[in-house]
Amino acid sequence: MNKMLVETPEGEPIIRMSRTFDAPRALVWRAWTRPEHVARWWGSRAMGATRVVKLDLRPGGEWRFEQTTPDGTVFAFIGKYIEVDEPERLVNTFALEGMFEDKTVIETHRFEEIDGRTHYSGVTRFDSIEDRDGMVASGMEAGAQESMNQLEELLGELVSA
Amino acid sequence: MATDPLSLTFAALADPTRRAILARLAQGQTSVGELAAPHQMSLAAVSKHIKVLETAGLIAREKDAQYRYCKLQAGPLKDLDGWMDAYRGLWRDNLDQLDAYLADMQRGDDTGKQ
Repeated sequence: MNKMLVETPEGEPIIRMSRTFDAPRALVWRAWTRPEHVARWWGSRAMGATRVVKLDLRPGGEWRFEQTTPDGTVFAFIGKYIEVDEPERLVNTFALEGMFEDKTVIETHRFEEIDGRTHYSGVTRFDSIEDRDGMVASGMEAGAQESMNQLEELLGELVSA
Repeated sequence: MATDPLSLTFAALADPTRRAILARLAQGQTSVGELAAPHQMSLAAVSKHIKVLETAGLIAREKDAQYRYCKLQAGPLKDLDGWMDAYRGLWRDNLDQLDAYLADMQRGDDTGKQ
């Protein structure tokens, strides 16, 4: 079921994701960048429906997607577009409002069309690992692998819930 | 109410006071009173924040003879790798959902055709 490839190179603060969609690139771009479409697929289902509050698709333009959990907690995912090169490349910042906002997360999304299908590859760059570890983790055992395993379990629960 | 661990963790961390409490506990265990000291709020208010963190499994309250203290839990968010994990989980869902949605669009449910 999981056709997505996720890599987290050791010692590098990046995540690489890739996936092939059975759809032409123009359509994938549209689904990715238009508010009415984004609301239909973006977000953790466990956290509730996604509301696209802002999606200003131009360099310097802001985006804001909100999810409201059943208990009323609002999570606002926010960022700015840095590069908009339709239909092949989109670069934007990514943050969760009120959490780790001092941490810079930059997403670079690439779309390639191959025989009518679209190969997506994304690279997300986080702040340096030193920065990440410095905030909360000082004095703690690292245990990154363990927390990764925990999340795998969590995700399993979320998916089967 | 969303009670899955990931949502609880997000909710617990979505507050600056609670993040400050975690940062303090990362330097070692301490009493509720000491945790409250840097914050301009009542002990009761700080205790509420501690309760939220405890429910999310981020900290534990323990008792050692007469001394009560809080300590960081080796739980859902040991460090900011948890943030990367949450991020990764979000995108895993997103790409699955986009895949399904693209299929819908191509079946003619696309409302955004140019």
